Amino acid sequence: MLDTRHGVMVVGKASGKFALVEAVAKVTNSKIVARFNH
Amino acid sequence: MFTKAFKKINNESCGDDRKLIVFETNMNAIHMENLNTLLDDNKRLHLANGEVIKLHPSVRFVFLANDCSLASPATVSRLGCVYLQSEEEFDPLASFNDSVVSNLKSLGSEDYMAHKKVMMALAMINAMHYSVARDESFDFKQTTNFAKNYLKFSADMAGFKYMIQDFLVLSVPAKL
Repeated sequence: MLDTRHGVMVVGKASGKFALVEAVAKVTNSKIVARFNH
Repeated sequence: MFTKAFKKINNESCGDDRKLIVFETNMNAIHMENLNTLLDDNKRLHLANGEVIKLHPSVRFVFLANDCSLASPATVSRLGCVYLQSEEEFDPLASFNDSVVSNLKSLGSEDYMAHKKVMMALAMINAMHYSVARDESFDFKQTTNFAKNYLKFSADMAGFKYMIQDFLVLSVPAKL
């Protein structure tokens, strides 16, 4: 099931969540192309 | 604004790189409802004007939120979930065997905090990898090195390696 997913939510009170997403992007050859703050 | 950006991103070629679109939102059900068909197996964004945009295979979505109180079950069921505790709540000792625990307890408090941060980062990276970025090119050594540099890990390499190996065997301590 996880193979078909293309979205993830990171939930919790920990600080620096975006910095950690940047870490994930770096190690998975991904690129953060847009950031929406709503 | 999202639609305009999404169309542009979706049409751009980005080589083999995966493209992440990050939302920092409270996941309000009213707003998220519009994304439901995009986040499920339809992989299509239906606009109010009747236009339908098919999701490019390389695009992934990441939602960052403090809690899920406003999210609907429809949204939650469409997304992988990584629960990230606050640093105060996170107890790395809970997932490790006795030898690692005694190793950790012998560290000074500064080093112990460094361990906690490294493990939080790895928990998230590991969980996100399995939720979104699953592929064979993922290299945990890169993760380890990055976490070490990024979080200014201060313990000796032998201890660090040992812990990382145990971490991977024991998988993710964050609640999934």
